[in-house]
Amino acid sequence: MKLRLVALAAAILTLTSSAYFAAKQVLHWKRRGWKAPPHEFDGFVAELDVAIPPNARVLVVNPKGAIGTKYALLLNARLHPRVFVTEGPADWIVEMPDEEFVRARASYRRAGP
Amino acid sequence: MIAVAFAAGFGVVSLLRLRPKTGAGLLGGIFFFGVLWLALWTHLLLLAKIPLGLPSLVAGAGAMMIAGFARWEREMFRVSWRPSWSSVPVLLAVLFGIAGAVSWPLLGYDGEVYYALKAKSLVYYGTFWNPDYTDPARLHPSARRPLLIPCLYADFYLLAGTTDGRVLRLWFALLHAASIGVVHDRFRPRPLWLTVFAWLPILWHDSGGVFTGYGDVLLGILLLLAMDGLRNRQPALAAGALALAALLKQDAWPFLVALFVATLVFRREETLRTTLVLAVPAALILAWSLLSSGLRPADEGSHTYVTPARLIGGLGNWPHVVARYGSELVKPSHWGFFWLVIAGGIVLLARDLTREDGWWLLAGGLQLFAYMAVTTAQDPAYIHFATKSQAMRLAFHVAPIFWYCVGRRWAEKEDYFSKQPMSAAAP
Repeated sequence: MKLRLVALAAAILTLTSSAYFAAKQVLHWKRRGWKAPPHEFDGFVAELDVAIPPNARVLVVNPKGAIGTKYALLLNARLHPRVFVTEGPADWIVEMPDEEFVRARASYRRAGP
Repeated sequence: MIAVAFAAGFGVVSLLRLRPKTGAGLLGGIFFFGVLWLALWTHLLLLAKIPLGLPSLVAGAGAMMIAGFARWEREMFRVSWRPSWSSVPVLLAVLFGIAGAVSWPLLGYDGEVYYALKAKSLVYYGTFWNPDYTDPARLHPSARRPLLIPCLYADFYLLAGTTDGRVLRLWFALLHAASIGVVHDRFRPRPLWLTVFAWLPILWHDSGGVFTGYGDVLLGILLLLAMDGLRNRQPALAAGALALAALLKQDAWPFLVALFVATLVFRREETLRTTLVLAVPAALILAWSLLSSGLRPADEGSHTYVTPARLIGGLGNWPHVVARYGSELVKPSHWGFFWLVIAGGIVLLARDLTREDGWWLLAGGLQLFAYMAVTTAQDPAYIHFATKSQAMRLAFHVAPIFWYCVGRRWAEKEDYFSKQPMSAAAP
């Protein structure tokens, strides 16, 4: 009987926790209008996809000069075969105002001579 | 896409004579082994430097299906479709897990950041010998890691034509759901395990957990299947599962060494059989290590590669790593409850320990050792990161084997209490 109770408690706890996490996330999704969050980022990726030609070399920088951040890695995966580099020379520069890539509005420009 | 996976999976189930007993075991097994066979085949193509593409991928599925037909027996697919009440909470938990994972923002978990890039690169160039993997100036922090999950993603990309993060998470979620069917079948005729195994979704924590692309739980399930295969004298299953594990994560490598040593100490009579099984993943590790040594090195401060030299060099880190994990895992927010239940289950087992319990405790212990060994091989800054914010991943790794170990006995007790006395059941 004790074992049955333990198993029942396990099942209830499992279902409750997974239902809680699922509901939290689905509500989060709903608040964003069922768009693939973060859609600000998706819009930026779409812009870059048009502006930067395939195989161009791209350097991502932020005010600290950091490269290889999560932001850069995400762009790297989404925009392949653009070449994201960790050092120059680069054809394009993506500038991040800070490290918060969801809220921040990043910009991009052609690299200077 | 699903048809190709099922064709390959039929071949694996038939070739290995897995003999599923339930509908869930049959469907889950065909899908699980089909998807993983395609990923393994893709990885083998890459190792052999055969260009990756749709024809070579479909050839792998076709070859496995033909091999399966050669060993096909009608009885192998005669299963029970009778549903069990205990499958209801599991199904609900799977649905919750999928809903949670699919709705969580695509903010840069491994699936969206590493695997998608690697898969796109593999499909674009047809090989890992390309500038994305070799050029140190390119952004690619872990080029020398084994490629099983990127291969799984690449297969999906080739067959479905997309690397959309949400769709890939759904595919990965289905693979995990299928694995529940596979493990359920190994537990038969113990019905209660399903409820116990339903604990697993707790690990699908609020960032989508395993469904966001972590290979941790998948590694745990593969090692569980491998240890079950070794125990039940199914060497092909054991070798296949260990080969998949070796190409999935480097954490499997010290596990294999530890398993070999444990066999020499505790099961000397099985040394030859186990060595033959271990030779398969060892050959793949050797091939990958040799071929990947020319790829770009790990970035400073990131998870570094496991080598014998780094493992030996990290011996001094053991006390620190054990203390750090120990202090983190007792915190409720860091899976303390999970460890508490596991520890309680093991204490209950200890009152009446069988040889089979010992086998599974050994397997869990080897996994703990392997995971911690990999942590000790890291740089101090990464050890701090791994033992604090990534501490839950240790639970991901060991959950399947420890649940099996504990839940199996609970299920046996339950059967014992719920069954008629033997004399009453006799004709």
